[in-house]
Amino acid sequence: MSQPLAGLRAVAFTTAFAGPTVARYLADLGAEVIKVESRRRWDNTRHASSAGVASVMEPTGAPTAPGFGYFNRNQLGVAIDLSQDRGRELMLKLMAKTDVVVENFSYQVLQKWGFTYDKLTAVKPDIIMLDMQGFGQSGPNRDYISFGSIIHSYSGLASLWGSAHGFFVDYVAAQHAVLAVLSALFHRRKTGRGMHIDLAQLETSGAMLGVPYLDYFVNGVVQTHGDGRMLRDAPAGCYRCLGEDSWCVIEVTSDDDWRRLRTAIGSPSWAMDAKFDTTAGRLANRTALDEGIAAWTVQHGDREVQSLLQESGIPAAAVIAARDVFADPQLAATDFYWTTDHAALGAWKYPRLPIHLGASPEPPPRPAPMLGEHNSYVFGDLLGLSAEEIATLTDEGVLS
Amino acid sequence: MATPPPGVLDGVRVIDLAHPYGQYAGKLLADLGADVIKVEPWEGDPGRRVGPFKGDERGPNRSLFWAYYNSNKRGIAAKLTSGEGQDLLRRLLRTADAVIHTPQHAPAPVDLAAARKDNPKLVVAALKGFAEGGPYSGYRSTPQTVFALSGIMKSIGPPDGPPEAAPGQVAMDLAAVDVANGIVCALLSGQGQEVTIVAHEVLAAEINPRAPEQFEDKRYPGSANPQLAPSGAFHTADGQVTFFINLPNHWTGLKELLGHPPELEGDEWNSRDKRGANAKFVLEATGKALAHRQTAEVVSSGQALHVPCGPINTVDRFAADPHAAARGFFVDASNPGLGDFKMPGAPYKMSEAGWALRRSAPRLGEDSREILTELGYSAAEIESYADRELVRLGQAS
Repeated sequence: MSQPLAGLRAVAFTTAFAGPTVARYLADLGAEVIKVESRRRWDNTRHASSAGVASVMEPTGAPTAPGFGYFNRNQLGVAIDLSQDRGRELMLKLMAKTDVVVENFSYQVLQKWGFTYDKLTAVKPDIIMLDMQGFGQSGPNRDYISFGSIIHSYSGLASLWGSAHGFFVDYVAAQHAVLAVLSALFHRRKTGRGMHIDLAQLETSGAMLGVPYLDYFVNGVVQTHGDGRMLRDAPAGCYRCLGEDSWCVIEVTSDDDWRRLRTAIGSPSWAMDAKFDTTAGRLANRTALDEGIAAWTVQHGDREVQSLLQESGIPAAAVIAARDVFADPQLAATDFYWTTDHAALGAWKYPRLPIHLGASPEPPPRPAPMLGEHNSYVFGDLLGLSAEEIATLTDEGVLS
Repeated sequence: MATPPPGVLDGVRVIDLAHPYGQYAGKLLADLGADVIKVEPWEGDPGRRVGPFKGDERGPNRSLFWAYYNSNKRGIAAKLTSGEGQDLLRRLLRTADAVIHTPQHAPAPVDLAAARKDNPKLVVAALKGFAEGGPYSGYRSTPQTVFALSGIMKSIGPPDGPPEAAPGQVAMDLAAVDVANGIVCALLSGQGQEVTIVAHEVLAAEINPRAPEQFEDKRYPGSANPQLAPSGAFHTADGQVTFFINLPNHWTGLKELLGHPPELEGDEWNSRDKRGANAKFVLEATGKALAHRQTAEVVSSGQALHVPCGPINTVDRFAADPHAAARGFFVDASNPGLGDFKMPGAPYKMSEAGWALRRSAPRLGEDSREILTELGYSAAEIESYADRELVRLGQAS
C-alpha cells in the first residue's frame, strides 16, 4: 500500500504555525508539498523564539530552528522572488501542475501576486485552494493582523479558559483545514471538480465552542471562566501537589469514581458526608470537595497522585511541563517521537503524525528544507528549465 | 428555508458509536454531507444527559451538548444488549463506509473486527485517550487528564495559581478532528482499515522541540511571555484587549496607539530585550494608557496602525460581532426540544457544497423506521421489533 496522498502535489505559501502545520499533515500523509519562501521573506519560525531560538545558520545564509524543522518536515523548499514578474510567471506554471494550494499569509499578499482562486483555475481548472487567514476572506476585519492569542481571545475561548494561549488555536485551525482539504480531494475524485476553501481561523475556534454558544442563544447565559457550567461531575480540576509549582488534575465522572477516590485518599470523615453521594450533590458542594481533595494532593508529588489514583481506576494525571513531554515514559514506550537528522540542525526528536492508518506505511520523515534547497528539482525537473536558465534566474535574483 | 444541496461527502455512510468525547468527529463529517447514523442504546445516548440543558431542566431533547454535537446526524435507538439488537447493528455496519468508536470509554456493542470481515471496505476509526503499550495503557482518560500530560497546560493560567485545562471537552474535540481526518484519508486510499487516534498524542504533538533552556515553563498574567512585553491582556473602560508585540513595527504602532506615553518614549524602549527586562514597568505604563479607552476604538485604531490586537470577547460579544455577522458564522437552527436558536456554523466556507445545517440532532429513535426500511426490514418486522422493545420508533415521551 502507498500513503493516502501519494501522487498529489501541493504548493504551500505558509509561515509560522497554522499554515505549515496543514502542509505538514499533507506531506506526512504522502503528498509532495513544495514550500515557497524567498530570501526577502522566509518563514517566521526560522527565527521566532516560539520555535526555539535559531542557533543555526544554514549554508544558504538563512537561519533555521528546530521548530521550523518540525512544522516543515517532509516538505520540499523553493526560494523565489514573487515581487518580480518572472517569479510569478514561473510560479503560475508550477500551479498548473499542482493539486492543492495552501496559504496563510495576510489577505493582501496573494491578491497582490494575482494568485487568487479565479486566476489559478485558469491554469488548473480542478485546483483546490485553501486560504486560511485569521479572519477569512470577507467581512469588515478581513485585513486584521492576527496571531494565535488574538484569535483565541476574539472567539470567546479566552474568556472561558481564563487566559489566552499562543498556539493552541493554530492547531485547531490547522486540523480543521486538513479536513476541508481532504474532503475537497474526496469530492474532486468523485466529480472532477476542485474548489476554493475560505477558512477563517477565528471560526474554527468558534466551532469548538458550540455548547457555550448554545447556552447563550438558548438560555441567555454568558458562561465565564470558573463558573462550572460545563462541569459534568466533581471533583474535576487542577490541584496543588507537593513540590514547587507541582500540580495534578483529577476528573471524576461518576458515583463509582467518587467512591473509589474517597477510598484511595483514605476515607477521611469529611468525604463520607452523604451530600457528596450524587453528581448533583458533588456539583452543588464542589468548593468544599475541592478543598478536601487539595488537602490530600498537597501531601503527594504530582506523579505519585497520578499513579496512586490511576491504579485505583480514577482519572488523574500530573500536569507536566512542556520540556518534560519529550521524556514522558508513555510517549517513549510507544515510539511517538522519531529522530530526524537535518544537515544544519542536527538530530532532533519530532512527534509523529497522530493519525495511525492500519493499511498505510509511515516512512521515516525527511528533514525540513533549507532555503531554496529544491529549486533545481522544481524548476528543472518539474518545469523543464535548463541548468543554465536556472543559473541565470539565480543571478538575476528571481531564484535564490 | 431552502434545502441545502448535498455536501461534498454525500454518499458516505458513517456509523457513530462514540461516547460524547468522540461525537465531534461524526458531526464534522455529517456537516459536510456524510450520512452519519448515531446508534443509541435503548435508554438513549449518554450525550443526551450532558448539560447544560434548556432552562437548566433535564430531558432527552433538552441537552445543548446533544443538539450541537449531533446536528446533521440521523438517529436509531435499539436494545444493543440483546442478540437481535446486535444483529441489527451488524446489518447496519455491512452498509457503512466507516464506523467511529471510543473503545476506552464506551466499548462497541458488537465485535468490529468481525464487522470488517463482513464488510472489507469498512474503516474502523477509534478515538482513545492514551495509547496501548506504554505505562499509561489501562489509564482512565478524560479531557483534563490527557491535556495535563501533553505539556501544554502547565504554561496556561495565573502565575501562582493552578494551570488551566481547556474548557469543556475541547481537548477531546481536537483529537476528534483527527478522527475525521483519518477517516477521509482511509476513504481516499480506498481500503478498509483501522484508524487510531490517541488524544494524548494529538495534544503532545503541539509541543515542538527546542533546546531545553528555550522552554518557557512559567505562567504569566494574560498568558503573555514578558519577553514580548507589552503583550497580553489589558483592561479597558468597557472590557479587555489583547496585544501581541513582537516585531519593531508592532512596537512603533503601539506607541502611536497609546498616544506616546512619555515614560515609553525614550529610544531605549525600542529594544525588545529592554522591554522584556523591564516588563512590569512597560505593562503598567501600557495598562494606564488603555484604562479609560473603549475596546472597539482601541482595536480598530490599533489594527489600522498594524498592531496585532483584538478584543477579549465574552460569548455574548462574539455572538453580536459585526464580522461574524457579515460572514454569517452563526446560523439559525430549530428543533422541537429547544425551539428556535442560533449556533456556530461553518468552520470553513467551500465554493462547492460544503458545510450546511441540513437537519437538527435526532430525537430518540427518530429515524429508526426509515433506517430499518432502507436495510430491507419489512413494515411487519419493524412493528415486531418495536412491540418487543428491541427498537424505538419515533420520540419517546
